Amino acid sequence: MSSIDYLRLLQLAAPETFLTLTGLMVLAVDLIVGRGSAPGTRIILSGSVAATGCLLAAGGLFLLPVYGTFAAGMLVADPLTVLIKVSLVILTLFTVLLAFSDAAPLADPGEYFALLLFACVGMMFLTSAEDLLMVFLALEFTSLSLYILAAFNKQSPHSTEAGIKYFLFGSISAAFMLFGLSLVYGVTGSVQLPEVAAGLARAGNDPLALVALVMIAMGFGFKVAAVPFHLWAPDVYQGAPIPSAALIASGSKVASFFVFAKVVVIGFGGAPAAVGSGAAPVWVILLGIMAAVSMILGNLAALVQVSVRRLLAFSAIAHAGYMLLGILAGTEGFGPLVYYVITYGLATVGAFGVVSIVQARTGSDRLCDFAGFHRRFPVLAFCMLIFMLSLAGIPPLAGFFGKFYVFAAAVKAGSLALFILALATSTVSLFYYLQVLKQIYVGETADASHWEPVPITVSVALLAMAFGVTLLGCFPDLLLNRITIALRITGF
Amino acid sequence: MSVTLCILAILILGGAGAAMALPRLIHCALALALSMAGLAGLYLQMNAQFVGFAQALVYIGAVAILIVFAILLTGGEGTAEVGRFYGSWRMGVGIALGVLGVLGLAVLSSRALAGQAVPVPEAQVREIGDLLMTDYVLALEVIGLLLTAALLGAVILAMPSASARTGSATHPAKDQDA
Repeated sequence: MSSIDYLRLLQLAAPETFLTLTGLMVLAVDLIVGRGSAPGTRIILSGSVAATGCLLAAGGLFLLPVYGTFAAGMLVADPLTVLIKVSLVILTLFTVLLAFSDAAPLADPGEYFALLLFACVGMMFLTSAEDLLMVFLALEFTSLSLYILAAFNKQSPHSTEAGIKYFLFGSISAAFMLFGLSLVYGVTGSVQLPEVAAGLARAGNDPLALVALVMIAMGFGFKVAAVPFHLWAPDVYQGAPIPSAALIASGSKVASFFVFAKVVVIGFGGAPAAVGSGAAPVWVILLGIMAAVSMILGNLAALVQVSVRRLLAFSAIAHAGYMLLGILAGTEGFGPLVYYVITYGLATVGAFGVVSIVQARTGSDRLCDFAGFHRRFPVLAFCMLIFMLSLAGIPPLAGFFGKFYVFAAAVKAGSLALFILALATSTVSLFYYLQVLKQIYVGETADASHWEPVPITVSVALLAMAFGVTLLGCFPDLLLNRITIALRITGF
Repeated sequence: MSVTLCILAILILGGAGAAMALPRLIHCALALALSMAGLAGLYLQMNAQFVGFAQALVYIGAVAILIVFAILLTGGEGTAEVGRFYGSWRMGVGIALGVLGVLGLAVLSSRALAGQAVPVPEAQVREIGDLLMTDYVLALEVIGLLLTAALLGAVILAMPSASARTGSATHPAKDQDA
């Protein structure tokens, strides 16, 4: 029996452990203190415990990072994963703050916040996994928490529908992914990424490795909502409680894309060229097709949406296409991809926050419901302006630089056709983002003057996110330098 | 070897097929248990004794019984009249056969698997236990967390909603729909 340093493991997994304990504490506080209080009080009570936990965890990760590896890739804490984890915790913090809004139909706030934290813990484990077994377990843990979060509002049939759709699609794609991972194990004899890479390079263009790749791409393609595995996204984004949808759209995407890139670039990147085709490896062709159809379908379908949440869902599909370009660029694209997903996550959570404000006051999220928003909440309308323009990729906001770096990496890697397609579809996307802004600023006004004021936490969170998006846009080096240094240390 | 394999395969596939196709829910559950028993036999036949017995104990012993209880307690027997196939079953069968064909071709033409019969080490339960407490202790922890989340979710989703519990509509169902 090999001895093992449990204390070291505890050190490495301290942020995850801390957040898990916070989650349990939220449950306890809601049960013991919050019992019998009004729903509003319970939300504030358990929500503040959760938010404090996130804040402490992010601070701890940022100020006192511990680096090291446990058991050959079960848990890898290096500067890069710590950076991603900090951003995941911050995104979760914003999600928690959004849940303070009265739009959140929280019958059981303790359980809701605990599950939000659990989902975050799952994403953090996912980020630091370099062992396919751990990747799968962490992915399942995250997904399971998110399924429950999507179905949380039992009074709304749409939430139930969202939960069931997410669950059914998710479990089938998880089964395919597990099958793919088992095939990788069969071909290479290992589940640790570096050894898998060596094994795949040895195996040459084995058809079994190809099948495995397709199945793994299926599993991750579902998680990041890339076409053709996107069918769940519009219904889930529209039906799930808004904070859940925001976390599914942001944090889950950040972690999944990071691991997807790691598995593909490290694991399959060394695999030799495709059967027959000579130049490009198979994974490049496969992901190239996924990226192209995601960009086209996402952007075109978003044009005709009436519901803003569905619009955000299709825009998410389109963005998944752009992000796939980052993976396609290989190691070159890794840094830009990380920058892109983090800033995208920030802008998306912000956009969902504004939608939740409107939905709480009008009862729906149609475009026309946004009319008059500017007059009642000028500052928040300006925040939405920043989020939408950042998503569209307008300088000097963060979304522009994300797109710029990813596209540049794609051109450098030689995928010129995809770059042109991405540029063209980005232009199309401007139309539907401006559509939202047009309603907010010049829409024929419904009488919005009697709309209730917005809870202070939600306003603060939205302002902080808008500030973050602007800051990271004006000074992209703040984040990008860290990523570059982390990448260099990690050895990409 | 091949005779037992055939019997087990028939048991597993037949059970799974029956679980999908039988009209009464309780019969489906029992057919599922049969399929699980076949899987346990398959594991045992491959010398994976721990997995085999765990399959028998956990799935046939506990999960199948739990499913039967759930069906009995919720009285979910009456939903038999809904069509069992969504869309065209012919297309589904066609796609499934296609996937099976591709997979079979890939497995048969794979060089990595060709010819080499890797001697399978017989994992002792003690070794598995050791590994779960050392190298794979984090995986074990994550599974524990996963089950905690699942438990929370099961309670939340199965419990009557808060307003129904307290009998007062303190939390009015705002119309969240588009």
